[in-house]
Formats: sequence, structure tokens, C-alpha cells
Amino acid sequence: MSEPIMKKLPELGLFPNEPAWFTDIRKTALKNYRNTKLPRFAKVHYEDWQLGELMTQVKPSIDQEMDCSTNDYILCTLATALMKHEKLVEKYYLQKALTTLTDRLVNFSTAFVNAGSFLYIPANTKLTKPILLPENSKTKFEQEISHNLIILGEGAQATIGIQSNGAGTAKTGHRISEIVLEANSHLNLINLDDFTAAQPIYLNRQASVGENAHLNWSIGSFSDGNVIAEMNAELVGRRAVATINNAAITSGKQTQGMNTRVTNFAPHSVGKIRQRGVILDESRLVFNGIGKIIHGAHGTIAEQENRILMLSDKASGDANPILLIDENDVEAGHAASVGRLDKKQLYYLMSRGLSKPTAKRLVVRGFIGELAKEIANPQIRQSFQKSLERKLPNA
Amino acid sequence: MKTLEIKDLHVAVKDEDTQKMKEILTGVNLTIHTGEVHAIMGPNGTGKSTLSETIMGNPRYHVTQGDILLNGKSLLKQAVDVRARAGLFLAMQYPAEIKGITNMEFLRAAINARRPEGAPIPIKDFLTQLDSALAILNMTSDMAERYLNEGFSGGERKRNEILQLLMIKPTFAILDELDSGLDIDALQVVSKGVNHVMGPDFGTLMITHYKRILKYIKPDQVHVMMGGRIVKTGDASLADRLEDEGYSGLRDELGIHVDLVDSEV
Ligand SMILES: Nc1ncnc2c1ncn2[C@@H]1O[C@H](COP(=O)(O)OP(=O)(O)OP(=O)(O)O)[C@@H](O)[C@H]1O
Ligand SMILES: [Mg+2]
Repeated sequence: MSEPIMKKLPELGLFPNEPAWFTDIRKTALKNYRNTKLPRFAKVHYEDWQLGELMTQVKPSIDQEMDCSTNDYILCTLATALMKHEKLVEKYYLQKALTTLTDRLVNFSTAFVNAGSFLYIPANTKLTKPILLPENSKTKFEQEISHNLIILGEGAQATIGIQSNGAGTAKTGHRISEIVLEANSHLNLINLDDFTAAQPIYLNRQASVGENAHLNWSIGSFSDGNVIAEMNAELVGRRAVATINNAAITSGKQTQGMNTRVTNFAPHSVGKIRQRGVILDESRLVFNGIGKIIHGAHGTIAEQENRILMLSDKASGDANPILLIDENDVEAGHAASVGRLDKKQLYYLMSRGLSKPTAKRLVVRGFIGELAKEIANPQIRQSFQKSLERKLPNA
Repeated sequence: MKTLEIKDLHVAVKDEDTQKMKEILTGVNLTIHTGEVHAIMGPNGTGKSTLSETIMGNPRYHVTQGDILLNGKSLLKQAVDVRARAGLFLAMQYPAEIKGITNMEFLRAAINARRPEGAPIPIKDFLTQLDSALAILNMTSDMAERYLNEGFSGGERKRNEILQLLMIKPTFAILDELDSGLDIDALQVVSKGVNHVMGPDFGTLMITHYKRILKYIKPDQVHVMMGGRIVKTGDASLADRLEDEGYSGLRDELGIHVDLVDSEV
């Protein structure tokens, strides 16, 4: 595999007028790609999903130069950003959120990146309206390998909703997102994943949360196909706060494996992970919740709760909380469960006339919909609930 | 007029520990018509809740003999939700709590379950009904927005059961120890709620330990249950007598052989 790829590099998807430093990063990643391993997702077998393999000639698409910037912020493709805002991209690209290229997939994605968006909200810009990004790029990618950068300058405030339903026409999709919150910034980030069943998807989302910054992150993992996802928030500044709420539903024969991680690097930082999953049919869902506290991060809080509701005998699921603590003065806790529908609850609802499917639906929706209530923006919350409903069975 | 008939009902339940079937009801006979109020009294553990749950269709209780008929039609093969839609309602002694579902959502789903598919109750009509039901029960609207019974106090749960009764308007309601856990004022309010649905098209079976609630909801008949069956039926004065004499007097008078755990107190 590596040899043909090596040959392809010069002619393959470089962005228009791509700066040399950027191409150098590609080259380094390509070298690493040859001697790194697939990332580990405990209890998920995805080796035969063909992730990290080149399917087609990866070319940047024709509308790489789209620019939707406003007076308040920069929003454009990565390709455009490399031309118009090169210094900014250079400052943040693989510099703050994702800093080491340790595994095969991240190296693959970095070497062959052919898409992505760039969103920069300057310091002290407080947006009242949410930014909604449909990532079902109308672009003509065959194999999307994208890298998205979201940056909130110091004291900036924003709500960003990102809905994803496809990643090109090739057999796989790769998507990296870096999210940087500079000091005192405040971000409500909602990722709504609705990828189709057709492609296995690799998601790697890395957030860096600066001093006194707040990240409120809700993820709806409602895709129909196989997905592995890393969701990672690093609390690098004092009093940084990150909450990751992940709601996942698996159905059919799909597998979704999620490594959801918060690392407390700085003192008095607060990290919370809440994952709720519902497993249907013959599907598989794995939550690996990882809370890590680095030595010296005193007075920190790390909490996580991973709960899975299993609705089928043929389904399987795991909720693995992992706490890695290298500091004494901390508050850390975890809860995990894989359970079935509560018969008493179903009976109670049915005793009021609700049919069994309706009662089940209500209990399940209640279980997972609790996370939807955390989304403050009504419009985004509604889309979230709509996706959730779509994914739940009628009977 | 509609009729709920219990005929020679025998019910067994599987003991979770020993996995053995244990007979609880040993031949209950009871007929209730709409327009009537019946009360059942009886010592703890005698099978009153078992009777209620069995009528409603709780799958944990197994009917080994006899029948339950609504307007002459057997309910035994009907699932709990079918019975509910046929007009039965049980205010439970221990209602479940469900996180993530608001009271309001639940009530709407319950009402819509009784309507033709694709014709849900218009939201405005629903809210009008809800407001008036809340007002009858002195409940605030935030109770309707809270998760179903979650974190509700014992008394609030009972009140919430009656809120559902008011909204659903069943034909027959079984109220299992509605009065337990209610303070003196709450008892009056909740009774007011029950009286509100009372009428010629509504019948009720109340299970209680105390005659106090019978002051507010006047029974036509009072039944005494002991050893898994009804051993005596009378009018409201039977409740007075029981309160004065306890159950042992009646047991001895009738010559029944059942153990009353607390009879010597
Ligand atoms: N699901 C069950 N599993 C095992 N035993 C049960 C179950 N339900 C009832 N029983 C037993 O059946 C008997 C009757 O219980 P039931 O709850 O019907 O009594 P009750 O008359 O309602 O009592 P109380 O006045 O205390 O409410 C008791 O001995 C009880 O332990
Ligand atoms: Mg009882």
C-alpha cells in the first residue's frame, strides 16, 4: 500500500497554491503513516473497515474556494484559508488541539487531506445567533478526507451546530476537527452525526480549552453506518471547563465505537463526560469514557457517566469508564451501566393505555432525550430531536 | 350502565426467591356497576393490591381460576394497555418514576392512545383540560413539566395519579390506598378530584385502611377481604365497625381461619 501512495503524493490533492509548510506536514505524516499502527478502540474491531486506505485519486473538489465570512468571523474552506489567512492557519493547524500524529489514521488523514472548513471567531466577538454548518458538503469529493479548524479567540462566545450526513461517494470517510478555545471564550458546540450506512467513518475531534474557557459539547451519534470516533477535550488552562454529552443510537448491523476523553492538565479545571446509548437490532455500541488527570492539576473535577440501554438480544454493548489519575487533590467519579428496559416503567405507561411500542419509545426517548435538553438553542435542539426520532424504531 | 365482574378469581404469583407459585387470591367475587362506589378493606398482605393489579393486567400475577369480565367480555387474554383503553384505570399504590419523560408528554400520549391514529388531541384543547385538572387538584403547572413522578413526594405521586384519572376519564377506576401518604388537606383535595369524575358513567373501587377517606368519597358498599377473598360485604357502617373492633372480631364471628399478624395488639 505505502509504495503506490508514495508515488502519488506529488500529483495528488494538493490545495491550490498550497504553502510549502503545509505540504511538508503532509510529507511528515506520510512518513509516519508507514510506521504507525491503527488507533486503539478497546473492544471495537474495525480492522476490516478499510479505514486509512486510499480508495480513489484524492483530489480537492471544485468549490474549494467557497467563502462565507461575515463582518464578525471568518468562515471558509481550508483551501481558501490557506490562501487568504495563511498566518492564522499556520498558527493553529496541528498546533494547539491536535499536536502529535501518533496513529495511522491521523497520519493518513493529514497526508491526504483534501477538504475541510476554517472558522475563526476573533477575540471578544460575542455572537448571539448560532452558526449552522451543514457538513454534507455539496462538494464533489470522491473520498472525503477533511480537516476542520474551529477557533474562538480570547473572550469570544458562540454557538455552533454542525450536521453531517455524508462524506463523499467513496467507500470511507475521514474527518478530523480541531477546536481551540482561547482564554475566557465560551462555546456551545453541537455535532449531529447522521452519516449514511454506506461508508465507514473515522472521526477525530480534538478540543483544547484555555484558561477559564467553557466548552459545552453535545454530540448526537445517530449515523447509520460504522463509525469510530475520538472525542477529546484537553483542559489546558486553569479553571477550564468542558462537558461532553454524547447521545448514541445504533441499529441494523452497524458498530459505533467511541473514545470520549477529557484530560485535566490545569489546576481547578472541570471535566464531565455523559454518554447515553441505545442499542437496537444486531448492532454494537462501545463507549470508552476516559478521564485523565495529569500530575499537578490540583483542585480539579473529573466525572463521567456512561449508560447503555440494550433493546435487543442480538445486540451488544460495552460501557467502559477509565479513570487515570496522577494527582491527589481531585474529585473524580464514574458510573457505568448496560441495562435493559425497566419492566415496571413499561407496565406503568401501558396501564394508561399506551401501546407497548409507544411505551418503549417513550422510555427510550426519555433515557436518551435527557441529553437533548442540555442544548440551549431551540433550533438546534429540534434538529437533534428529529435525528433521534428518525433513528428510533417505530415498533 | 357498564359492569365490571370478578368471578371466583384465583391468583398466584411466582416467588422471586424460591421460584415457586404462591396462591394469593382464593376465590374473589365482586360486581361493580357504573355509578357505584365500592370500598375494600382488609389486613396487610391479604391480597388487595394483588386484586387491583390482576384486574388491570399486571403480567406478574397469574390467574389460575375464575374470570374478570367487562360488560360480559372476559379481559383475561387482554394485555394491560388494551384493558386501559377499554376503560380501566388503576391508581397504583407505588407508581413508577420515569426520568426523561415529562408528565405532560405522558398525559398527551395517554390521551392520544385513545384516539384514532393520526388524529391527536389539538394542543390547545389538551392544555385547557390540563389547566382545569391541575386547578382542581391545587397543582402548579410546573408539576406537569417535571419528569414523570421523578423526585415526587409520596403525596405528590398520589395527586399525580388522580391528575391522570381526571385527564384520562376511565369508566372504572381502582384506587389502591389513595389515602396513604396524604396529609389531611391533601386528602380532601384529592377526594375532590375523584368526586369530579364521579357520575352515572363511572364506577370506582377504593382500597383503603381507614374510614377517613370514606367520609369524602361515600361508598355504596364496603367489602372486607381476608385470606385472599371477600368475606363480608356491607354498607358504610361496616367501615366504622372495623375501625372500632379491628379484623379479629370479624374473623372470629365468621369463623375464618387466617392469621392476622397484628391482631393481638
Ligand atoms: N409480585 C409479588 N411477588 C411476590 N409476592 C407477592 C407479589 N405481590 C404480592 N405478593 C404477596 O402477596 C401477598 C398479598 O400482597 P398484596 O400486596 O396484594 O397485599 P395487600 O392486601 O395489598 O397489602 P397492603 O395492605 O399491605 O397493601 C403478600 O404476602 C405479598 O408479599
Ligand atoms: Mg396493597
